Amino acid sequence: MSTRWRIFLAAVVLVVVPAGILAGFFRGALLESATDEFARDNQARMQGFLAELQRAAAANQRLMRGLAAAAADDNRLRLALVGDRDDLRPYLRDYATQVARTTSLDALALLDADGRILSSAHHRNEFGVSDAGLLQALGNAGGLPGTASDRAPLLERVGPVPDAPPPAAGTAFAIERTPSRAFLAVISRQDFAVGGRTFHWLGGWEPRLQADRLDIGLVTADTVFGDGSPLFGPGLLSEAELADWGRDRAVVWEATTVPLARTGHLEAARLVTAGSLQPLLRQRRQTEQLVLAILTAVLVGAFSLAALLSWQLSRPLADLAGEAERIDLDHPALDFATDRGDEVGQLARVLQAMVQRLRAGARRLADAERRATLGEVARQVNHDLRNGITPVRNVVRHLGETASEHPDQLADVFRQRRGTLDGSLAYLEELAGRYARLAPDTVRRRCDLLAIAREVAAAHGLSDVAGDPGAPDVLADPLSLRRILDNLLRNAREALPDGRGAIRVRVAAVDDPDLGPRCVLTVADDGCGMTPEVQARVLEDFFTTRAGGSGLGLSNVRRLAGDAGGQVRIDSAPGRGTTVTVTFPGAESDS
Amino acid sequence: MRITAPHLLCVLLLLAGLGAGCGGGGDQPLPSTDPVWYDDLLGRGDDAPTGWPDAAACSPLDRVGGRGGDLVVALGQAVSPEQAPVPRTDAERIVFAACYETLTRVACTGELLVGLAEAWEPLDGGRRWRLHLREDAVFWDGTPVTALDVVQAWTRNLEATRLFARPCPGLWLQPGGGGITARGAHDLEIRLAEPQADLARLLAHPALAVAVRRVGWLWPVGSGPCRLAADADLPLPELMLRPNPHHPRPPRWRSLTVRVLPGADPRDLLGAGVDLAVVRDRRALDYYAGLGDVHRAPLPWDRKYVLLLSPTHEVAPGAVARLAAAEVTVADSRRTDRLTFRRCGKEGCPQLHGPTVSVFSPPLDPDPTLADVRPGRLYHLQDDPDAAALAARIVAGLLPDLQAVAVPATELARSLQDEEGAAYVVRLDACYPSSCLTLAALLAHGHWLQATLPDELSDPDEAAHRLLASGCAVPLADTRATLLWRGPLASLALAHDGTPLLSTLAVAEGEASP
Repeated sequence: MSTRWRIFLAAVVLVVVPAGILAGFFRGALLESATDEFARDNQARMQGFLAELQRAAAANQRLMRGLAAAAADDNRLRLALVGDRDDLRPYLRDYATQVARTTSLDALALLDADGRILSSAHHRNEFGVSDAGLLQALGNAGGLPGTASDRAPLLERVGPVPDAPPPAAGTAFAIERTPSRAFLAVISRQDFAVGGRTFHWLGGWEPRLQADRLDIGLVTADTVFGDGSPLFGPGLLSEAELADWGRDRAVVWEATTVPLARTGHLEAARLVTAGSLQPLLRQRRQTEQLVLAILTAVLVGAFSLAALLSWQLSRPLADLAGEAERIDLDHPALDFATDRGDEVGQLARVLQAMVQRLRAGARRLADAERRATLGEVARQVNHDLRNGITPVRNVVRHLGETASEHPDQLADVFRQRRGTLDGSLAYLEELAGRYARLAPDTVRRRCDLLAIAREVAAAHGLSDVAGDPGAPDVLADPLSLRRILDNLLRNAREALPDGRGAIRVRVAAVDDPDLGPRCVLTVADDGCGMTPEVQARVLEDFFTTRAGGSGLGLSNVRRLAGDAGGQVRIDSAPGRGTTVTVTFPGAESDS
Repeated sequence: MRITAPHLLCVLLLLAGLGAGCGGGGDQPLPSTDPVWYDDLLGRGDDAPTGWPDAAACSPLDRVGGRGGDLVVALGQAVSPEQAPVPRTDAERIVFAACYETLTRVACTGELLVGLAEAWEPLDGGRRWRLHLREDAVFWDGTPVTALDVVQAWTRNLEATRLFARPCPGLWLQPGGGGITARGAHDLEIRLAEPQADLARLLAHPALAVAVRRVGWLWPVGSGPCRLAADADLPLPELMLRPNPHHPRPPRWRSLTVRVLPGADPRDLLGAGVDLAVVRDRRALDYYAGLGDVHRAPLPWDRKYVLLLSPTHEVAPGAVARLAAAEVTVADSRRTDRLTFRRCGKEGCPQLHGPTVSVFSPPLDPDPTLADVRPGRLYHLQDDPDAAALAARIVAGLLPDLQAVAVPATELARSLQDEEGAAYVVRLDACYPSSCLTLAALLAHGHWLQATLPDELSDPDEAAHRLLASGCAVPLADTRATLLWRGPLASLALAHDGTPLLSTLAVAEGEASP
């Protein structure tokens, strides 16, 4: 697995796992927050309802005070109340109705000190009826609560709620009746005096038991009052039905307790709220979808970021690796210089230092090679001298043996071997002259390569030499051509296993349309052949597969052919022999 | 309203007076003094109170009274011992008139009667007066009334009236003339800066009643026919009055309870168990008229409201003419366009040029809470609903550029002295048993009012006419209280200012409880 993939996977793991954990955590937190928010929202709506109820109750009390002042200011009413004026009795009886019509109160009654109804707007037939119980209960009422309970668990009915600060006294819920129905009203009591006698206004309004998607009900010991929802329909659910209904279909919880004025006493009624859970469920779904969308986005981002990060981190390394692959003695001048300050830059600088050291080593190696080449030259000289001296030594030893054993034959033997001596000496002389002119002083002239090939092959005892008579001459040093042929033939003979096999020398003419006429020298043997690895390196200096070999034969061929503008190509396969082809440019016909 | 020739003449004359400016020369032709009556919502049509009421008007309860009985009287204002015997409210006028005596008394019909002083004698042409106290004058606690008690009482009373910022008789008694001196146990001498012929009437002013402070008594101890219970506590929802056995004319009832109900609806005064009440509210009168067992009797006109216009602060032209047509519907009132006073005769009245009200000595800085007081406002006395109603009507209908501002009495007096506001609604109570002093009290509100008269003018009638002609004063309304009672009451007498004298109240013959 590459480093890039490792970085990618690591980044993905490092992001995805925490993101998943966080998503789970935030999902839970958001869902809980949504639930709390839903509860608080409902709580706030209930709070708003209670605040509105408070404001309305305060306004009602102000209105009742105004009614008391107006009643005390009305001379006719005064006379009807304390003057026992029969002619004003209808006025008294209609007074509450007229006032309620003006003030839009749903319930209004004027009572005397004993609680007898003197005038009633909502139930005119109650004239003279005693409502002292309600009057007394309202007298003890502490008012409506101003706040709901602090917290109401969802789907859970709670117990008593903390008492809210009481508003102005004398206000409570009460059940009022008309001839046709009973209804829940918020009633305030206001006392006033006329002519030293006390009278009472009892008046209020029928509250709308709804508050912005929230149904509100007043649960008494025996009745549930409310409107606007199935829960608080005219059927009046029982406590158990209320709980079941709330558990299955909606949320119902208790907000606070309120005073309910009953005949002669006050009882604590519970103000409950009910609302659908659908908004909460919808919000929870939206929350989950949101979390999923965020998580998906995070994953996509994480993958993208990991890919980018791995590419960014591995690219310099890959670049360094690519550059480093090109490092060899032939390309020691690679530049890894960089201005990066990170680890990659540090690695590049290390490689740069290494290349510099390699470059210095190559120089030292080149020096060593030159020195080795000098040694090779020395060995070549030694080799060549030995080649020239060995026949001389053999002739001298033959002559010596003849002189000692057959002195008489000495002259004959000398004559027989004089040619060998002369040839060897001539060779040595020529060789000496050549070495004296080593290196730059090669003489290039038109040479008949086929003739030289025949001559050298003959020296090596070979006869399979053939050539194209029309082959162009080669513009080269004849000695170099002899050395090329000498090396090639010696290698070919050494390649023949046990000296068996043929060695073929060919000289051919090739007309290259781009480069002009070419003279091609081919030396083929039926030897053991070479592996591709050996073949790839056989032209290198000092590469040899033979023990005691110098490794300079074919490299010298390559250099000498190169000096003549030629190229060397080797075709070989193990067991199939080797063919060395040297292609020389043909000399111009007029040169 | 029908416009008649007298209407137009009056308006023209008033405009002419305005054109001449306040305090114009005495040679200016005087406007007509013929009364011009306007429609009154009450439609009472009574004559102007140019004289003292007759005997019938001064005896609202003409039945014969018997002895005994426990009576209850309800009053709608506060009654406090703080500044007694100087009355500040109508309720205190009624209670204190029964409990404290003045040196002289003036009957409802104008007759000068003996008070604490049984004899008086002018000296030096009226510049000095010598009085002799009754030998049998005794305070509630049995101690005799001495001349020194009178001097000390007056000293305290005059200081109290200064605090109330009222033009009081002290203005014409104390400054420059040496004041009052005790010449013996029962002899007094009063020295005046200017000769004064009717000083004996002035001495009947309720602010000159005599009372002394005694240890153990909550209320100042007086010598009147009634005494206030010593053990009454504050606040005082009820006062218990009992006969003063030392007085030569003690009441015939056994006890009289005064229910003090300040701020109460006047229609609630005559509630269950209450025998008598005094109200001014018109709606209350209508209400009581609907009750079959309540009797009523109007008391003499005792209060006059006057609009004072500052000549420094120009009021819109024609305002005075429009004011003459203003409808006034306050209290039991009637509109008037004249400054007429009881017995406004031709006697010389040097007090017209006397001192003005000096509330504080030295004057205090203006009340910082009223720092925004500025011209363009119409001031009236706070705690006076009739004055407030008049001011509101004037501002709403006639002088819309003004703003009505209710101020305390002291602040009203100061602003009048400094001529700070553009207009003022002031009231004149009939507590002065002299037309001269009543007019002088009006002029004493400020030098700028006295400046409307020629220096030597002493005729009250002519002075009143010139004041009207100057445009600085516009009479608005006369108001009066109404006596309400339930049950068999009898023999109630009135003081010169219309105050019911509770000491004269009695249960009708044969009705008194044993």
